[in-house]
Amino acid sequence: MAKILSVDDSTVMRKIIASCVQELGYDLLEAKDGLDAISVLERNGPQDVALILLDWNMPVMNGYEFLTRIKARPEFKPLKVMMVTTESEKASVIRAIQAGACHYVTKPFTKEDLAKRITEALGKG
Amino acid sequence: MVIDRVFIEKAYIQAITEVIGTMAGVKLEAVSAILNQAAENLEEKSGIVVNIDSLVQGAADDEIIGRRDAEPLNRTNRITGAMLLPGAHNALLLMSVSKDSAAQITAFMTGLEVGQLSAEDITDGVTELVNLTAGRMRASFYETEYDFKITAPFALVGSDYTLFQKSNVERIFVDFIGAGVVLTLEAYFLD
Repeated sequence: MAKILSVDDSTVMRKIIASCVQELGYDLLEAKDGLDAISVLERNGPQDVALILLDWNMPVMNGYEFLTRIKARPEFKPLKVMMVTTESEKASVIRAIQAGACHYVTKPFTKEDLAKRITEALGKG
Repeated sequence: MVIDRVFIEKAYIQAITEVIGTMAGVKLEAVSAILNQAAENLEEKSGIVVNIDSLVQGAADDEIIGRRDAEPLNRTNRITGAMLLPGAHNALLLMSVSKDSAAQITAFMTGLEVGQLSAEDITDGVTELVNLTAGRMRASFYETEYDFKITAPFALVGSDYTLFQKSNVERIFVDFIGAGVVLTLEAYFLD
């Protein structure tokens, strides 16, 4: 089954995302920061990861640094990344898209909105 | 330091109502209009009480928003989420709830039962609520003199603590009351 990787330092936010992802029928992988997410990808391999839901502000390694690092690695470069963050400035959106994010969702979101955006990002909308 | 209290209070009220409403899947255009109108009628003094139950029931403006006198909060058995807001006006944002209310709010956010949540989940729920609210507030303050940077939120948890500030620190506080929960949002403007 295809997997979605949720990268967020908040356990509560990961639970909210988990509920949405599982209702869509995907398995969930979780990471608490960017460095942890790289370990998850290295351990599981990128082939089954359909989408990464990525917070911006996290300790250890933030979302933007994670994004630039995976896009610099050929085996991870094709991975789809959706930012899910409280950063709502236009400049932040542009920066993330230029770094390789395919979608951008600002928190808070309704579960319906997130489900719709995930479906769109996976080309199933 | 002179701050525009009404402008800030309106942004705070709007931010937290939007956060709670979005999580509940409620469309908030009408709610925002009511809050804005009610806030226009406030005089510039002390704290605010927002009655979410009255808001949802469509009560009159003066039943939704009122004033209360400023008093130091007794934080017995409470969780306080916090975030530093650095900017032209450096501020400290605090969001304080009882532990029981924090559990109810976290259950509401996650869709889980209170009994399924750990102590860590409940503390994280309050911290995340601060993060979401600060994110919404920032959208209201963007490119104004009150614009600030988002920083890492944190939580204070303890059995009995009180915050005292120097007299030259401006303080804004808003109580949100609804569904048996009282959530107090405070901001201390530090310079």
